[in-house]
Order: sequence, then C-alpha cells, then structure tokens
Amino acid sequence: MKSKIKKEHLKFIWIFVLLAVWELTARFGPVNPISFPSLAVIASALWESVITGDIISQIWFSMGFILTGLLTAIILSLVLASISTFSELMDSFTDTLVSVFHPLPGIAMLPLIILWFGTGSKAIFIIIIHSVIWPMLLNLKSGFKSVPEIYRKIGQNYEHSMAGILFKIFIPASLPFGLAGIKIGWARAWRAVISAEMVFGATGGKGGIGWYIFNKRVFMDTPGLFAGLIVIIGIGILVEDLVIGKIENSTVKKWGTSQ
Amino acid sequence: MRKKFILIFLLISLLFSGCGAQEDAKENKTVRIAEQFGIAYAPIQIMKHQKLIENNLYGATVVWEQMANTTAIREAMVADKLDVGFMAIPPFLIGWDKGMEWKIATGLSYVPVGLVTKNTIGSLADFGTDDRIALPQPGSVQHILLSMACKDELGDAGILDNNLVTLSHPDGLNALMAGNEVTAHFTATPYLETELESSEYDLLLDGREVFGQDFSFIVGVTTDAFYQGSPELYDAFVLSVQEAVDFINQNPQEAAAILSEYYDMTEEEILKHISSEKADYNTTAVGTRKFSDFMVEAGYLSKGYEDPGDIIWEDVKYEE
Amino acid sequence: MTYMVEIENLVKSYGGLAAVDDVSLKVMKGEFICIVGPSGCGKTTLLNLIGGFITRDSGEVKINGKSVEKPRKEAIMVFQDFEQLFSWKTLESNVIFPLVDLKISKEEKKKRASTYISMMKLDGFENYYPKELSGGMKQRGAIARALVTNPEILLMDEPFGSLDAQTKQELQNSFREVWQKTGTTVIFVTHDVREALLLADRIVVMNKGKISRIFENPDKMPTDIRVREVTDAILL
Repeated sequence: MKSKIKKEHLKFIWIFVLLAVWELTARFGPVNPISFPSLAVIASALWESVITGDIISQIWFSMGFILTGLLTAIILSLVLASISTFSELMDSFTDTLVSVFHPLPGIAMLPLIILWFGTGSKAIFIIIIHSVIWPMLLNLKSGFKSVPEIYRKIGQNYEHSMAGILFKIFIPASLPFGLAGIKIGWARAWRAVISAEMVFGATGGKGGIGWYIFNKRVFMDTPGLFAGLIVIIGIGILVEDLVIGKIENSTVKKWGTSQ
Repeated sequence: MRKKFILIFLLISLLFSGCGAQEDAKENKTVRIAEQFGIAYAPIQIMKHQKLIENNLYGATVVWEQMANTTAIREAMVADKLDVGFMAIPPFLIGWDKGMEWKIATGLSYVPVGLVTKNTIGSLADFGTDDRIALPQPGSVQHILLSMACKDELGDAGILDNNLVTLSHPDGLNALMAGNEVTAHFTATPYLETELESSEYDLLLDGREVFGQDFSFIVGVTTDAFYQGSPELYDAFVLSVQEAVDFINQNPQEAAAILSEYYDMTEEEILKHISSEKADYNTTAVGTRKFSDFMVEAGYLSKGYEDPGDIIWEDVKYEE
Repeated sequence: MTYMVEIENLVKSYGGLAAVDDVSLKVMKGEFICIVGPSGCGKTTLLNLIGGFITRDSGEVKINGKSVEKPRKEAIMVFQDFEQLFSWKTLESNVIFPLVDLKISKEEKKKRASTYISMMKLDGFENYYPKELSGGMKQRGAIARALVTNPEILLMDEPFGSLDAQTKQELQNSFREVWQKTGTTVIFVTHDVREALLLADRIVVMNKGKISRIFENPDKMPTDIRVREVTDAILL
C-alpha cells in the first residue's frame, strides 16, 4: 500500500469493510434475522422513515431541544465563570458546584427530576442544562485562568470596563477551552436527550430520535432500530467533524492557539 | 492488502465462534424463566417458592432471571437467554409477527387494569396536547386497550399516541400524584386501587369493558427451541403453572402468607387482591383473536394468525 | 515649568520590604528616561506604579498634574513578553484594537494603523497572525499598537530584553527614529546600559528601591567610558 491514501479515505474504506462483514454475517452467519437484519432491510427501513418524514421531524425536535439547552447552558456558565474571575468567594462557590455536580450523570438524576419537574419538556431541558453546564463551566474557568496577565493589563490600560475586558479579551482568548467545553457539552447533551426520551417518551409533538428508537424497540422493529442508530451516528459525525471542526479550523487552528 | 484480508477473516471467524460457544453451554434439564413481581404474576412466585417444577421433574433445575420489563424478556428470548417468559398478549403478538418462534403455553391471570385520570378529565376527548398519559410502554396491553377505546370513542386508534409517557407502574403512580403534566395513568392492581383511593382520581376506562369480553392479562410463552428440545421440562412447567394457579384459588390465605414474604405488601392486602372477584387466576388463554384482529386493523401488526395453532402450543386450553 | 510626570516620596512595599522606597522624580514632556539597575532594584515596580497597575502605599504620582489612581489611556505600557499581541487578531486588527471604541470610520482606523505599522517597518504583514511573526516583529507590532492612540507617555518594561543582539539593535534604531518623529514622553526600563546610553536623555540608576544616581545623556553615544561610568554606578 503506497501511503497516498488520505486518513479520511481510509476511514471510508474501514466503514466499507465493516459493512461488508455485517452483510456477510447477516446473510451467511448463524444469526437470527430478527436481531441481525441485513443492510438492505435496514436501508429500506431508513428510507421509509425518511420519506414519511418521521425521522426528520424527530431529529429536528431533538436538535431543537439540544440547541436551546446548549445555548442557555453556555450563557449560564459564561456568567458563572465571569463572576468567578472577579470574585474569589464566587470562584470557590463555583468550584464546589462543579465538583459536586460534574460527576453526576444526568440520567442518574431522572427519578428526582420526575418528582420535581415532571416528565415534560421542562424535565428534558433541565437534564440538558445539567449535562452541559458543568463541563462548560469547568473549561471556561480554566480558560479564563489561562488568559495571560498582560492581556488583562492591556484591557485595563485602555480603560475598558469589566464587561469590555470580558467580551473583548477573556472570551476570545479562552475560545480553545470554550470549544473543548462545547464539544463535551454537545456529546453529553446529545446522549442525555436520547436517554431521557427513551425513558419519558414523547414530550410534545412526535417526540425525538430517542423516542423513535424506543418505539422501534418495543414494537420489535429491529431494522428501524438500526436506522435510528445510523441516523445518530450520522448526526454525531456531522456535528463533530463538520460543524465544530469548521469552527475550529476558522478560529483556534488558524490562530495557532488550539490546545 | 493481504494483511487486511487476514484481519477481516479473523474478525469474521471471531464473530462466528462467539455465537457457537453459547450453544454448548445449554443443558437439557435447565429451564430459564424470568422472575416477575406483582399480583398478576403471583403464581410464578408460588411456583418458585414451592419448587413445583423441580418436584414435577426429577433433576430439573430452574434458573430465575431478573428482567427489567417485557421488552427485555422478549429480547432475551430472541437471544436464547431465556426459555420462558410471562407477558400480556399484545407484546407476544408483536414478537410473533416479527418472526419470533414462540407460542403461548398457558394462561396465567387477569387482574383489574384500567385508565385512572384526574377527575377533571371526563372522557377521552378531554385530553389536551399538554396532558400526558403514563403507561409501561407503547405496544403494552395498556397501550393497546387505550387504542381500542380511542378507536371506539374518537374513531382514531393512535390519536393519543403522542401523549404517552413511558413510566414503570410505581413511577407512573408518583407522576400522577405529583400533579404535573401526567394527568392519567393506565395501570393495574395494586397501583390502580391505590390511585382510586384518592377522591381526585377516577377510573375512566376499565380493561374488560373496553375489550368487551374477558381476556388473559398475562400469559406464559415458551420458545420453540424449548418446546421441541425439552418436552419433559415443558410438560413439567405447564403442570406447575396449573398447580400454582390451583393453589392460589384453593388456598388464598396460605398463598397470601407466602407472597407477603416476597412482596412489599401486607398479607391482608395481598389476600384482598388475589381473592377479589375481579381477579382471576386461570390457565386458559383468553382473547387472542380479538387482540390480533384489532392490532392488525390499527397497524400494530402486519398480519394476524390463521389458526390458533399458529400461536398456541398443542393441548393448551384457550378461548378465542 | 510643567512636568509630564511628577513623582514625590513614592513608597511601595511587599511584606515589609520596600520595593520602591521614597522615590521622587520629575519627567519633562517629550523626555526619554531610562531606568537602570540590578534585578530586584524596584525599577519594574516603579514603572507599574506610574502606570497605575499597582496601588502605592504612600507618596504621589501625577501625570499631567493629575494623580494616578488606575491605568489610563495617556500612559500605555509595552511589555517584554512576546505574547502581548492578541493571538486571535491579525497584526492589523491588533494595532486597531485601541481604536475600536473611537467614533471614526473604519477606513480612518485602518489608515492610522497603517501609519504606525509602516513606521515600525511591518508593511506587508498586516494580515499575519501573531504565531506567524518572529519575536522582533511581535515587539514592533506591540510598539505600533501602543503608539496608535498617540499616547502622552510610553511605559516600556524591557521591551527588547528577550531579543537576540542583532534584532535588538535594529529595533533600538527604529524606535529611536520613531520617538524623534512622535516626540512622545518615554519611561523605559532596561538592564542594558548600552541601550540606555543610546536612547535616553537621562539615565536614572536605581538600587534597593531608591534612586542612587541620575546621569544626563545629551550625546546618546554608548562609548566604553560612558558604559563603564554608568555600570560602576549600578554596581556601587
């Protein structure tokens, strides 16, 4: 093999190999077609979900939740990280919050969340915020702490207010940390939403992608189940490689400040 | 390139060998049953406590598996990790429709099942988009009964499908009592009775009334592999269920005493439930035809069964 | 006569140790002052006190007759650290940064920035990010940014201290030309006596927090004799 093949192409080759192994196993292996459907069956299940628009509206529903949750959590953690930067008392308070809540998986809080917030969209929203805010805050705080003292002095020198220094210097300077936080936050929120939907079911309208998969499971529609998983993988790749990757390329990678 | 082929070959052979190894581990005189709790499953607990299967077949071993819910039991049976499972008729039919090789081996019980609602909701038409109906899961008997009622009263079986919330019986009870958006709970004994003790909640739908006739709430199902491969064990199992059911019907007091060791309820409560006129422990499988017809019509099944023998093992008592 | 900077009996101590001990100094408008001295003599502390970055214990610092309480736009600091340009901004955007809040057109801002970029001999590097510039170029950029608002005073904390000898000489020469053009008052901290003799009108020697001697330096020629003379004063 001449090493002309690019890494991304190699990824596709491996995906192709895995699919081929899958198909061979499904066709000729000693497996139950109920639990191990062939690719053609999965593909047609996926196609059907796409043309009936089910899966699209359900993805849309889940993504809408995640985006609003992500945005709210980012704003909240920015506020908390900012006050922590200017007050040592708040700094130790937010440290305590992070060390208490960061290790707690959102899904473990479900019983409590059901009791306090019910099972509606409010509950899912709380779970997303919980999933995102602590890793985000942790990253932003270390990002803010890593901002060189000189940067702050330059801000003061030009008589910028606290807010001005925050927005013009601290936030862009700690963007690599912020992006790392968003990456973790996104992954956590995405998982939390799927898990929560699988527990709660539809939380309005047609429900999200987790509910879609749950329904496929309870009706034993294994090809549909796989279709849902493929969509989840696809969205993961799309968001992480394309959206976040693009942002990184046009910011921290270009500036040479990526961690 | 050659290296890659070898790698793929190894991968494939690994997959196959993994599947093969499990076949050998299975022993002839062992039956694997999912243990389940609740008034409707009382005969299973009696069967376990009195070691009925072990007594009916010398040398038999029973492995009692803990499973979270019907879906998990069904998946375990597909994966050949379980021989016997107890569940309602609709989830059984869904598995059968998808090609699972299994049939009903026995009826088990009927206990009161119904839709409890806040008394502000007087009929199915009163549900708004923000109201949530808690039930164990879509495709459960509770869901199918709700769909039947929706079809009868509102003309559309799936009209409330987007209002469902999947919660276990105890979580459902908590959610209903919490008074948030969960305004209804399709549940069974004893949660049903607990909820109805409060004057804030009414029974909007009764299972039998919706269904229009008697039906088995729970049936026992075995895999084809078990039925064909271990006929002695199968017979011992069916006989044991019969004995357990008879024991409960003939000695409710004694049965309640045994069950109180396992259930988080007092002997009196258990006795009240198992000897209630509304409850019925019976090995006759009842109501399969009507469930099947409705589920085909509403699109939950792709096909109905032709002959009862398609879904019920030979010599099993049934009433369609 | 009005002074640009007036320092009277200035004291700043850390944990009982006086870093700046009863310092008085007057700097005229347009004057170039170099503060020299061994490490830990208090020269950087003095510069930070003049800039308002740290608060004094007692005494007085006035710029243009007004007491200094916090950092101000009139006195801009340039640091030794190469990483004082914002990493997420191009050179041009870095130089424009001080002008952002000004109510002038974008073109005008670019024009002003370009004037100082040219003055610091950085033409053609406007769109480079700091990571793409050498240490010397970064310091040129930092000086351009400091000059763009045309501040009354430049406070410079060993800005050429980390450069190699050749680059340092180039920057010293460019900066001397720029200072002659702009006429800005400069207070320049260094431990390099030659540098001080090349640039300063007056050389202030500090020792243990006090001003031990002040040299007039009208010739601006770092001859060996002058170097020895000032070095001896530092080591005394």
